[in-house]
Amino acid sequence: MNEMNIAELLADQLEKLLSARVNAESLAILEAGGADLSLWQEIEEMGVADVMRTGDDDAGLGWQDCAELFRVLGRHAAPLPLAETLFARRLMSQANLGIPEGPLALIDPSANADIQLDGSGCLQGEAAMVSWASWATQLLGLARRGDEAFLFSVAASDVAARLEQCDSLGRAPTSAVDFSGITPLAVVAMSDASQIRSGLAVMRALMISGACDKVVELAVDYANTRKQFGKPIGKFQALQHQLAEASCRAAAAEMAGKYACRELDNNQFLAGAAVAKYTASVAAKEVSRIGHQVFGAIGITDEHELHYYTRRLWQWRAEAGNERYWSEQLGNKVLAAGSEQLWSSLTA
Amino acid sequence: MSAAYRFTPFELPPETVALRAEVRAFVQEEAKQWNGWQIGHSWTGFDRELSRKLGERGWIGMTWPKQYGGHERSALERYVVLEELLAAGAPVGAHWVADRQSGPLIMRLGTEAQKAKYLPAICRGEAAFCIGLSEPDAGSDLASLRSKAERVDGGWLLNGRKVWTTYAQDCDVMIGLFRTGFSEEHGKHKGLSQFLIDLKTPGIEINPIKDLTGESHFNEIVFDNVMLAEDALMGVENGGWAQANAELAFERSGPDRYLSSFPLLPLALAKLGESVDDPSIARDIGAMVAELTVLRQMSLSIQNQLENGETPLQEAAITKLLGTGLEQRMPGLIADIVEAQPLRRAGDTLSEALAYLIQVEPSFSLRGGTNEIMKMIIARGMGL
Repeated sequence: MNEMNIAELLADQLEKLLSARVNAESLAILEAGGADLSLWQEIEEMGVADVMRTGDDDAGLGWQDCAELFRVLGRHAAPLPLAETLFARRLMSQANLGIPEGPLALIDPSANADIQLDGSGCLQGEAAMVSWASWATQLLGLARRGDEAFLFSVAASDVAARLEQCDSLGRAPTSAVDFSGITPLAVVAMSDASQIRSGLAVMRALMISGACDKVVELAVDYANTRKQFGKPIGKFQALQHQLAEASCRAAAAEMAGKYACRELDNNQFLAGAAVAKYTASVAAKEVSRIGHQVFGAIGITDEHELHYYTRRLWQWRAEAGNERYWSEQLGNKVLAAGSEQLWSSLTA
Repeated sequence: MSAAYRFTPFELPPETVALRAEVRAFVQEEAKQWNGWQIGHSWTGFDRELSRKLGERGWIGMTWPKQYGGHERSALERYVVLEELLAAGAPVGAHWVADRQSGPLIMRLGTEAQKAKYLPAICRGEAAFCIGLSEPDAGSDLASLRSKAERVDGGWLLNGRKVWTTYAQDCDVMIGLFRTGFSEEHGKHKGLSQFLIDLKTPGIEINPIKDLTGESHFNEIVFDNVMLAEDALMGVENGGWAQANAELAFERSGPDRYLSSFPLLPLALAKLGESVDDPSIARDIGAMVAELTVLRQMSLSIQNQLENGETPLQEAAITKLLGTGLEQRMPGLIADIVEAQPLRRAGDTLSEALAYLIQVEPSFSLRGGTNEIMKMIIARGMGL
């Protein structure tokens, strides 16, 4: 069986598992802080959390192989840190770090996380928003010392007393974490630290594209059943056009995410991630706006499931750099490369 | 999933690299004689001399069989040639429609005699085609068209009126859609047929329509008892609607649906220099480049599906809607960023190109089907 088949099979299995187990009820329990780890155990038994690990005897699956996995996670607003753990285990295996049991938290370097590595090997600084910190066995992040960047891992037990619960838009378990004075379990110099930010951006872009598909699907179903003026509201052209627009945005996000996976697999970190996260963040805004417009008042109630997806769209749009951040990065790169390079790099 | 589109990333094969370099070098040389106003025209610029040169190099009808003058190269090699020409704003209008639509249609449905008559001339860059669809009372609702072709002794008799036919005044041949069978009351999509019409046939009167730029690109064409031979029928009698629709995935997903304003961007970058003080300019540039990248991937993905015999009409409609949206926004946005006056003044390529494109960009979301029609197609595909 080739790698693509393994990846497709896993995405299919994951889709089935999450379809059966995740719904508004289980998401509500997660957001109320009452989720247990049983679903995580099933995920571990599937082996899916390890597929991006690389090693001497195992190349692991690449980003392109795993694109659909991330989309499935977004589509179901998966109530577990599988995306983070997939990428974190990849980073740890690339850095030859021992990989612990259990889920991992990955600190988004763009989210007010200015963490320094001091001369005595201790961390200094706080990360304002770490998703899944309270679930993780280890936390993985990026620290700086002068111009150098380091990947570090910290034992959850070492920071357990320093987690300050906060509510993100997505309301997955999220904490502010003060790392000051903590000695990391491991510190590894990174020659190119941009791969962490870019990897996170592509991961979120793919999850956004999955969640956009879900919102469009919910909105189409609703438009075809809700009747006003004697006919389904989906028969009104004004709504059809908005939903078509949402569908275009979702399609662009999917295309951009998949394109970026290829770039990451080729060790091109900036441009692909910028294209993906810019496109997906714009889609997140537009698709959630249109979704809510179609649903009307029922869509903004707690009772209706729509908000589990739209709040995550807003959350993921803001994480790992929003459309302003990435368009500026890409624009500066294009400007610095100069006019002559533009078309060659677009067609490279 | 409600609308599972197929957008799979697709990479051009390495054998296209040398071809790209060859086309780029050719275009760079030719471009020395184009001013900004001409560059702004891109694929609506009509230059028979350029088309002949491209024909000589084997860059028209690239995928067609050699027996008809083609070059039996892949659709992906053709894509490379197209995007290199468009990126520079080359005036490829004299062969664009024939290469994109009319030739492939003739190849698919034409008789042996029709293929032999038209295809080699198209490949040489010597046969310019136009498409006769719209009529005064049939625009977006094309199937309500009324121009008729009646079967008579020895052929067909055409009467009626076409409008908005691009470059009819300069073209050699029109492929026109005419009513042959049922009247509108019997189901308006039935009873339409396509005809190959030599525009020099007696009874055809072509009246150029001046547009808001002061130039005349489209035309009104009056058919007054125009007699065509039996073999002017293209494909199946009364099967014209399906035939015309099958072309649309090709027509709507190509690089001409997102690159029409592209030549402005390198000109703007050259003017801005290597860095900018205002971060919003970098963001605008980055956003345009990101959109171009995604559209190119969408377009290539569709190209690959077409190559495999699929007809991704929904995907093509999405690509056209997003692509023309970008090429419509670019002229105004770039003019603002570089603070350039859109001005026809010799020597200032960017200003001249802006001057043309700002005036014609409203047409980008009209030609090839309006935004509203694209959204209708997409919504239908979504199950609405």
